[in-house]
Amino acid sequence: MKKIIYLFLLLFIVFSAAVRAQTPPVSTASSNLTPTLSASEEKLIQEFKTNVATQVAQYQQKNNRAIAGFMESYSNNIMKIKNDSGDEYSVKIDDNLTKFYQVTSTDKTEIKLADIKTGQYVFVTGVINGHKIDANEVYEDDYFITESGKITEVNKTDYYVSVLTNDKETITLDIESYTKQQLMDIKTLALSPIGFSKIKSGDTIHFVVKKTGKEREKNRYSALKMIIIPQEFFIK
Amino acid sequence: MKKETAIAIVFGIILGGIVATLLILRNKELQLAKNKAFGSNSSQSAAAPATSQNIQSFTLDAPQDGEIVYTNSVTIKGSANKGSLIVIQSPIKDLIVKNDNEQFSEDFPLSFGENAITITVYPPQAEGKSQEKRLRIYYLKQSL
Repeated sequence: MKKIIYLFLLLFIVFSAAVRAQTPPVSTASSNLTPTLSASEEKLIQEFKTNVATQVAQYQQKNNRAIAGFMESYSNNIMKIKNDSGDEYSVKIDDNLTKFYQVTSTDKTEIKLADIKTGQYVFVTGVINGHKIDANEVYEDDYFITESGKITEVNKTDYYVSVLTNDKETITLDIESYTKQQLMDIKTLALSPIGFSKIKSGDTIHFVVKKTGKEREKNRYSALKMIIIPQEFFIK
Repeated sequence: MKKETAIAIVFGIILGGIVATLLILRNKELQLAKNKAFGSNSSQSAAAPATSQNIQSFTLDAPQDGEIVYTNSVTIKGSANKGSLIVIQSPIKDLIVKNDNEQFSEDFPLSFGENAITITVYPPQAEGKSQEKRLRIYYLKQSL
């Protein structure tokens, strides 16, 4: 008799479980349309949102920069560029998406990929992944160098100055008719135009040159502008 | 001796050992804290003036090298020795300022495209070495 009762109970349990499994959970879903979240769940969601926002900001920050260099080669939709420090980058060009521009004094004009020649200085915007860039825009621009150093020689016959830069490089600056030469007043720090005769060996110089790639000698440039800080300023 | 008594004695010894260890450790911490306090007081008085006089570091907080901006000027922020001379130069602008505070913040104009900017800091001491940071900032117009 006991065996029968146990068997009956077991069958009842199995049967009720099967029925429960077949019942669709409609009633629970419809009766509880607005889920209530516990404080810990809300905190988790908030943390997740903050993490996503941070990731997006970091991604934007990472890609809100440009990579520049001189064009080395172009083949199979890959433009190789190399900067003055020797870093090389592979720029992936998308025939449909990548746009090309030339920087003018205040704006840009659209050009074609074929207009960019080997040796041309360019900067690229897009998705940067290490030394690879999926280019959105490629800009053709001039390459300026701004540096400073000590004047080691003033040649008043050939109108040039030799400068030992902070990187211990010797650069020769040709003084042209268009070179803007300014001297800093050691008391007021104001800048005033000067002539070449005022420049002395031992003075500090800050200069701007444009590197065209067609220079006569390595490290010899025509100076666009220069600021002279007289050596007297540093004698205190 | 009853079994319960023996267990109670063992537990008592263990508990006593734990309390003694904790007390010794706490005492050591207190001693160390006292020594540190004496040491730090004396070094602070000697080191503080030296720090304010000898900071040779020049840090640039903004902008970042290679950054793209969509306005025709940028604020150059950083810190350098008080009284140092700061020279900021680009192809379109030369700026020379004396750093009155340790923090500096200067608005600097940009031309469209790439802007090569060099920031040089000359320390107030004549024998101090100048420090230089070079940036390339890109002023572009936002694509619609």
